[in-house]
Amino acid sequence: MPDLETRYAAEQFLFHEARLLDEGRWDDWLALFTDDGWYWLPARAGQTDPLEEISIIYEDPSVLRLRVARLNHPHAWTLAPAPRTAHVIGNVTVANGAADGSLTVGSMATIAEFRAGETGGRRLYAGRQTHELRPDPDSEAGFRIALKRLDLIDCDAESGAINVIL
Amino acid sequence: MTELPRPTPDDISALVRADRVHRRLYTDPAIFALEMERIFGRTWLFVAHESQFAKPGDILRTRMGLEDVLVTRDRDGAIHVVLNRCAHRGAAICTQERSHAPSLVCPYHGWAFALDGAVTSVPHRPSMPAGFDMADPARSLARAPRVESYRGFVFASFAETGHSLTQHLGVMTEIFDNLIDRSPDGEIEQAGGMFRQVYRGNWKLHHENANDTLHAGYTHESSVAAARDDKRDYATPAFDDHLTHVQMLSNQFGVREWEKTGIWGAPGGHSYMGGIHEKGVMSTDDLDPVAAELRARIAAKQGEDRADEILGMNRYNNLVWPNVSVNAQHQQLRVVTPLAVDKTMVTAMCFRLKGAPERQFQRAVRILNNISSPASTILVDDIEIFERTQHGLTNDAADWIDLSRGIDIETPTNDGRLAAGGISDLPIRGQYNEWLQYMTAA
Ligand code: FES
Ligand SMILES: [Fe+2]
Repeated sequence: MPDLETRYAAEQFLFHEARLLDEGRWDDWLALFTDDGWYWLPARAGQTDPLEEISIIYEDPSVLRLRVARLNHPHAWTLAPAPRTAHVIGNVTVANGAADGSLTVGSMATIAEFRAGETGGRRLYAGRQTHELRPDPDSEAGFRIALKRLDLIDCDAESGAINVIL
Repeated sequence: MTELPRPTPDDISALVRADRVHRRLYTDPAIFALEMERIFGRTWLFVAHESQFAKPGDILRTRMGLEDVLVTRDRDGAIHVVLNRCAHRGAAICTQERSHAPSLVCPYHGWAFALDGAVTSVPHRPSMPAGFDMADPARSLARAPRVESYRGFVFASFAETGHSLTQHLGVMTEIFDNLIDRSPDGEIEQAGGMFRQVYRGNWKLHHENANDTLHAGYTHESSVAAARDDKRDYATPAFDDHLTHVQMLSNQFGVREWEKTGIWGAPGGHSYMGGIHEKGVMSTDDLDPVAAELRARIAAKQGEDRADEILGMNRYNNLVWPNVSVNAQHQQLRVVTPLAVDKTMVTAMCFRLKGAPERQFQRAVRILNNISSPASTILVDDIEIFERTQHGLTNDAADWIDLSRGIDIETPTNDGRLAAGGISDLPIRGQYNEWLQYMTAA
């Protein structure tokens, strides 16, 4: 079992990531990923194959970059007005990965969203997150994300537009 | 629900003119109720692809307009569409999207029905009155009287009589043919899952957008700009990332480019756009390895010329009014289901071309993610605009919406289609021609 210091560092990293998303700091969030990292929101509970099954999002930083550039554009209509979100991250579990200090971090995310106006509204997302973290002593955050997987509890249900990064 | 006053044919006709329609078409629950009765309750509706319920005993739950229906395949392979409502006291029999069973048994009092909807057993017959007749159709599940498959695409109608399915589809059979022809084995399969997106707007807003070329540069400005500002070289793509880039970029046409493309309308309210990736004669040099392999496999069975003809068919957003839209190039299909006057569900799916390279299917999945996921960087802006339009139309102080673009430059083709340049409301006017016929028919 990882020592308390490692567990604390992993937990702080998740809180940091959540804060970047809540503050709309998309570029800073994108910079958390390793170049070969993946951001995955499966479209089915227990999904293992992202290539032959649809995903709400399955993107590497190369494509996430396009997603973030759109969010930064003044005419991204779904951000006018901008949604506000509150991420709550809990039930954090940390497992040691390889000898290089990689960690597999499990957690639950509850994300409340509010967007003003007739096309906005209040919305709640919830699900289990899995982060594969690589230690990165050069970065302030301490880790980079090799995989972030978020399994929303309603990932296969009908859905309105998802306007933010979760 | 309270009974709404039924608009008369004269009421309806007063809301539709050659170049405009009244906002009530999008906001009035009485008109919506009449649409469900006269359009969705009568015409042919796409319900499923046969690969989704391939085996005897397979049951697929879907909707025909507001009606909750089960599409079944019986022991003999025959296809039925029955109402998901017990003939006894009305309980929904099936709650799963897909299931498999030899019969339909109601969880309330155990009435059982064959897969064609016929009642087969009623527990405790002694308590039923003497005149209770199992052969009375009212004891069986209600069913769509007409169900037909066009080469695997299953349509159903609640009307006993009317146009045959092929009459209804008309020239739009060509796009279903083309989707199948792209498979080297001549067979396709729905696979990979489906997205179900719900927007807060009227169902017709989706169709009016389907062939609206000019909206792309405005509605999708943010994703177009993101892709255009991306100067990376996608020549040797890993993981097909370039496809996402191309999808986002594909809305970048300006007025001059759109003018060079075309839009066609067909009888029945159907329409499509074309001429978008026109490059003259198709050259195999342009093809990346996956596309080249697909072409080679088709050519091996059908010959070089036929392969070019099949892969060269250049039609987008083929709208088969009133509820399905097809993009054969990327093996995509969308079903539009009205839920309320101001609420609509779009179900999006893709197909595997049997005999094609596996990567071809992975691309179809990727494109479905890109353009039809609830988190799509493209679709979310369309949804936002549908919802803004729905809101705008709730204002009572202005009545009409304009559909006049291109009305002076339509040309009939010699096979009954109407053609226009790439910027035209021709498809929408065609949709309302058809809409008016259904809505004012007795
Ligand atoms: S409601 Fe179905 S058996 Fe009674
Ligand atoms: Fe669009």
